[in-house]
Amino acid sequence: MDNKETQLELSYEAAVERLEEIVNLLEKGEAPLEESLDLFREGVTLAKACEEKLSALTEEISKIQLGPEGIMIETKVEFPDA
Amino acid sequence: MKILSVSELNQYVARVLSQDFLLNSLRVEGEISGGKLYPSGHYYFTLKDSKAQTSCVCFKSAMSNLDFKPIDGQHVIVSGYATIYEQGGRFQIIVRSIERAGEGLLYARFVELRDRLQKSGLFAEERKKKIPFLPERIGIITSLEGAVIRDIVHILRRRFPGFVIRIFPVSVQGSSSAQEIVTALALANSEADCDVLIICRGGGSLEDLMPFNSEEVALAVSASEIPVISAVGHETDYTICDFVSDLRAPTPSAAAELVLPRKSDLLTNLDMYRNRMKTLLLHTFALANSKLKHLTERPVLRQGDYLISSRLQKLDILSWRLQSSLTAVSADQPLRIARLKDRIERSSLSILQHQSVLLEKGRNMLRANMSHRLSQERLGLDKLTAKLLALDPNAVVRRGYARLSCIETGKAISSLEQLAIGADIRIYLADGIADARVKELFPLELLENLQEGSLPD
Repeated sequence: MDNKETQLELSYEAAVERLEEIVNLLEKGEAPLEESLDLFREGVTLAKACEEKLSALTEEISKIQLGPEGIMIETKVEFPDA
Repeated sequence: MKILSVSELNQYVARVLSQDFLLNSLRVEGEISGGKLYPSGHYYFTLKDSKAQTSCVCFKSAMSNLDFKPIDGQHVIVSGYATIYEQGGRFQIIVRSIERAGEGLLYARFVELRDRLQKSGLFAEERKKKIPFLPERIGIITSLEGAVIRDIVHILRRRFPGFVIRIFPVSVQGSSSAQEIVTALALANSEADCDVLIICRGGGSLEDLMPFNSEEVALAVSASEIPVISAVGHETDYTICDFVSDLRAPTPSAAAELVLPRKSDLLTNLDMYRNRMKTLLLHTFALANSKLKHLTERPVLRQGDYLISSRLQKLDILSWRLQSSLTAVSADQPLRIARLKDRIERSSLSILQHQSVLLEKGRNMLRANMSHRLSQERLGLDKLTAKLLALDPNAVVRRGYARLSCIETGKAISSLEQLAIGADIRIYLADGIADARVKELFPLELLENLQEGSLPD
């Protein structure tokens, strides 16, 4: 049973797969010049998008408990640096 | 049928129980829970296993010769006799003595459950779900106190800044632990929207780890839609929770290292792809360039000239042969032949000339066309190269500058504010990358009021 693909993971893994594909296409060298440049442009943009996504992430730590009427309560938890 | 009163019923049941051989000298094994020691010195508790429980009482006299203090969550063997508490109509065991269930017994229980669950296919490989490569929200079922959760947080901060974790606080030993874990798993699967779960606790005795060897936890883990990483106890400890989980990590810290890749690795990986693409593209351009140059020297073009000049040569030979044959003929046939010779000469010459003019024009057209085509190709190539250079973030680097980025976050660095002394930075130069640590920072104002050349060393 396949598990739920997360948004970040889907875009990251899919992006890396596409980058791999682009490298293979450029390696084969069959694509005409103009197309190779388009492939390169797509690859550079993808790599940049991934880098930005990774750097934009911010840390979140919370705890989850069952409240009185059985509803979920999420509260922030602090972990000072060692 | 005689109608009984309640007390008659209870008395009858008490009598039946007291005559039963087994119930009179019982040894029962189970886990203590809900234990209460009354001022009277009598100790009331429930003895339970994963599916049932019964109430027990250990009177003061029996309590005094116990060699340990019974507490909730302990696995024990109780000896005594079963009876009915007549007022309450409650079945209970009158306990004469309690002994701690030895490791041997606990281990036997563990093996028995493990083999049973194994036979039922609960540990089968095909049931194991894939652990997501880059989970967005990580659920952690563990105790909020203690070093385990703190270690995990610190490891994740080092490996992958910007992670998201949701902790489900549970007690990690004692009689309520198993049920709390089951509730946490249900909560995680119903509402908390986690992409992976880590069930973990630090090292402990076999008794401490018993909740993770319980059938209820095993069933809950295997029923979880969300993949579960189990990291219970030390490396050498194997619990049923480990067997049934989708991935066993030897320790909680190992689980932290398995659940998320190192962010700097991901960033370096992306850099590698970018450089690889650039080199390949430059190679393709170089190839196109050489193909073009090669084309211009191809014999077929030069051949064009060759074909035309050989054609012209043939014409010269023909006209020469014509000349010589005409002179031979006219020698013996006076006037008529002379006139005939004259006409032939004039018409063949004009044909020859006409042909050579045509050929000359053809050659020039061919040459003009070729050079036009070539310049078109070259123009296109230069335009594309310019576009490439504009795109290439490292173009600046080639002209002798360097590009900086922070190793950890991968962000490009353009100002001092982004730096601090001791920060690790990555320098991109024309021929490679260098990692360095900031030694000193000189803000612009400081530089301005220093005289030229007196930079503090």
